[in-house]
Amino acid sequence: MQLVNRMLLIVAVGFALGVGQSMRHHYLFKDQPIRTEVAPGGGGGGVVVAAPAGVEPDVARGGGGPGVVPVTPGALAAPAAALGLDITIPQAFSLYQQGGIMFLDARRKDEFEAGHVDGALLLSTEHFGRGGVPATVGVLDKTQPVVVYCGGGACDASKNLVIMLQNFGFTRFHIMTDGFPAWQQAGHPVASGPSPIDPEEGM
Amino acid sequence: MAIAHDAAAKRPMGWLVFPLRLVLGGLFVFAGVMKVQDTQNFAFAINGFKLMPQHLVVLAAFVLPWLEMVAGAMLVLGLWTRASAGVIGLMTLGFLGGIISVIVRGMDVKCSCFGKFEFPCAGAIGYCHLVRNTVMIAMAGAIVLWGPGPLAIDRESTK
Repeated sequence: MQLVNRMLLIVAVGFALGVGQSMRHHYLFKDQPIRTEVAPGGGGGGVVVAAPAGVEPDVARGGGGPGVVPVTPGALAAPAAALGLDITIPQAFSLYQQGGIMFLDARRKDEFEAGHVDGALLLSTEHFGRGGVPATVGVLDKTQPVVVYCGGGACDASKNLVIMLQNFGFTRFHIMTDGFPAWQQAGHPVASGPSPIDPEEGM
Repeated sequence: MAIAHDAAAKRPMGWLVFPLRLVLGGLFVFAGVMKVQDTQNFAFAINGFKLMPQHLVVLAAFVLPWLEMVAGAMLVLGLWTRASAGVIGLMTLGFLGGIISVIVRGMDVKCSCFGKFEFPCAGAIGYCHLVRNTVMIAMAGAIVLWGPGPLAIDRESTK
């Protein structure tokens, strides 16, 4: 009996601490579908207009194939030859060469510093909710598409970051599905060292 | 509970319990610290299991990391050892339920058990996670049965 009482007390302490943290936390979790405006240019591929976030990961993983994904009303007029939400390494590289398009790295800080897409900025969901907007968000151009990537494979960090950015008024994203390892393997420009803009600056 | 209350009889097991406490408690503190740094990501991760409505996801995202840290720290210190091991065992049992349901439904979900670190099972949830959690439940069960062991704050009177 004493054991059960103590266990309940431990749970109560954890509960109180968690609720306490929730009061200082500025961002409320919101799951919502990713809606990306289709960006012009780039090679062909499926038109991914809206992929349910966190629902069917395989749906969102269309890659560059002609795969078709659920399309929301209002977005039906999207041009066919445009980049979808998920893009391949060659598609990402062609955007990279166009210039003016920001790459965001959603991996851990140490992974970023060990090597990232040259010119990319560090930003992931952990930089939100600490009482301010990450400095990185302030320097991004909302009218331009952003390319988000993480470690490839089973990593969800890109998708989660896109959902966050959506709440800050961003509408055009691409996820480089195969992630940094594939980018590096393809011999595209990489750099190492800290992010030019510290996402936690001023927080 | 029919536990051997004879301190001498318990002592041989005691030295086995001590490393169990350190490893299991340490793992939970680590897991909690990793998660509390990125509540948002953890919320997305729980949501990925599709087991709870969203308001419960939010609650779990805030409460679970703290519960892991508190119970883990108490287990390492040997404070209310049995109770903290019991809480950890039940939590792990709950996580195991989630893992099984994900495997049964054939979903491709990331664990996020240790935030952005994946230990010792990499990638999407699979049988490795199932085995890992089963081992952790066994460890917690052993501590509940055998008591705090040496180098614990708990004394015989408060175990």
